[in-house]
Amino acid sequence: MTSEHDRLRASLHDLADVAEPADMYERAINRSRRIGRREAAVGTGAAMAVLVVLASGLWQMPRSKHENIPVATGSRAAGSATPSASVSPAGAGASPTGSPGDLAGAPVPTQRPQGKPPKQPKTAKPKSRTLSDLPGHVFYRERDSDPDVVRMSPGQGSAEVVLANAPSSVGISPDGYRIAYVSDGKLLVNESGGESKQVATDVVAADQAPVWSPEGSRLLVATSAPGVLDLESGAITPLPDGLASGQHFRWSGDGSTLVYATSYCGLKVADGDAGTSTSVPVLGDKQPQDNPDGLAACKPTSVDATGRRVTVPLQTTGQSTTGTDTADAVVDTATGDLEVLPVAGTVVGAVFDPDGNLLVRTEHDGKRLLSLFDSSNTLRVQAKEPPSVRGLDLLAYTR
Amino acid sequence: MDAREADYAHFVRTRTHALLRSAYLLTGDQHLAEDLVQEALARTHRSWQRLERTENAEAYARKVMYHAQVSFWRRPKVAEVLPADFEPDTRPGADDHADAAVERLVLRRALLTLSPKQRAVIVLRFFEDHTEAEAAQLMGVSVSTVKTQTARALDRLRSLLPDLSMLTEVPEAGR
Repeated sequence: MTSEHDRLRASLHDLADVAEPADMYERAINRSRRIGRREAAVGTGAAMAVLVVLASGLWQMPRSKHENIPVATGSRAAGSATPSASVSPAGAGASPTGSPGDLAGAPVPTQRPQGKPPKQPKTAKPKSRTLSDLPGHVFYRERDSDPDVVRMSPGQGSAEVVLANAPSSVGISPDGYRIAYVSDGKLLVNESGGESKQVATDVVAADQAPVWSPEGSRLLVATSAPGVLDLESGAITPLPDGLASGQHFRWSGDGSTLVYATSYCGLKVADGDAGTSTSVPVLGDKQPQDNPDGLAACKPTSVDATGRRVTVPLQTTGQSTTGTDTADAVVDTATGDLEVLPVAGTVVGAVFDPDGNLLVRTEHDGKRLLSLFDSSNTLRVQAKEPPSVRGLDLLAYTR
Repeated sequence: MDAREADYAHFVRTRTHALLRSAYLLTGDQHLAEDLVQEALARTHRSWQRLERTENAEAYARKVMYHAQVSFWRRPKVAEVLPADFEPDTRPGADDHADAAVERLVLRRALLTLSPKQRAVIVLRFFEDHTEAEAAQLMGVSVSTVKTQTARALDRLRSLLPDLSMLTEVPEAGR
């Protein structure tokens, strides 16, 4: 037995020699600062929340419950259960976010809700309630294993299947007219329902859907490692070594940033071609004191214009990644906080377009609504979703 | 840089590789190991004022690592070993080198099939040479948990690496 243990010891030491030295000082200091900032932000957020609760109580006192206009028109009396459902599925507490003009840059952290009653978010008032005012294309997909992909174009009043029985995860081009997908290792691009064109081979889509670059000339795909395919030349340039272990990469709208998931369901933000990345705090964090709710994000689905915010299906640590392709939460990549969306009901889908507009799909009193926030967080359009797409999952939103 | 920061910088630069070696055994991957050590070093930095001696700092950093390992690292690592990694190096005179490389890959793969807790006890008991009580303290579990997890881990390793002899002798498997 002892000699067996000795052999194991010797072999472990031999294996540990594989670990290469690395200078971790700067990384550790940066991470420590981020932890410090987050702790400060949580403290400030808690103080703000207390102030807001007090203030909202004072505001409510002289008022009666005469404001009872449905959805997105203003506040109900404190204690109404309806708006409290407008947060992420993790049950994080909501916070008032004020009028649409107040929203930019002022997302209230939703962390650490334990023991506090959920606060009431004000719902924003839309500039338009007409679906045809929603620009661009909204993409949906069926929920089965080889789903049809549907494009709804509100301006044209149409919804059509643009890819039937998709054999893999798909990537929708920024102009909404091309779909990339993988079949038997072949990367195919279908344009406007025509014949699909093969653009690369040996591509796997399990941990990386094909992702279009913001200008639509390149595709980020996974072969043996993640790389960027130039559609014109057909050349695939691998991502820098430091990013090779990432999965589910997504581009920011300005192309400067990649957000991706780690194998332990955290998020990382990579700057351009530098190959260096920083971790998004909280999500996937192993320490209960920093991540008390055990939040994790295994698949970023879209990034705003600059990489400041990302949509994810919110999960808990240890969950598998299957069956969770539709984002229902917006995460601030600097702080790891979840943003409270000023909409009523339950968020059942959220996605950025390349210009930083955020499309949110909610369910409230049995009704499905689409809300479009522009990059300054103003609610441009809020309208009822057509019943024809009711049973489908929100996939993408494009120009 | 004040004296305290200088002490921390010295601690990081002298002890990082030792931490990375343990972290590599826990994660089986250089990048994941660096992530784990980065977190441990950052936590240690947050608590640096409370840690008077460097030995305390290293113990603290290791505790962060092992707590993380036990509490979180639950997901199986993907793509640990590519089949091509087992191809022996056929260059003349490269046999010894190739054998050693195969041994390492076989052990790494075997370690990654253990549960996170089992992997932690193996590293603590047989790499860092801690007693059962010390291992329990570092992992934040009971001594009996360490005992049972060690026994299960060794059973599993024996089944994967018959007699453990292949670890040090010429490996037949994997060729």
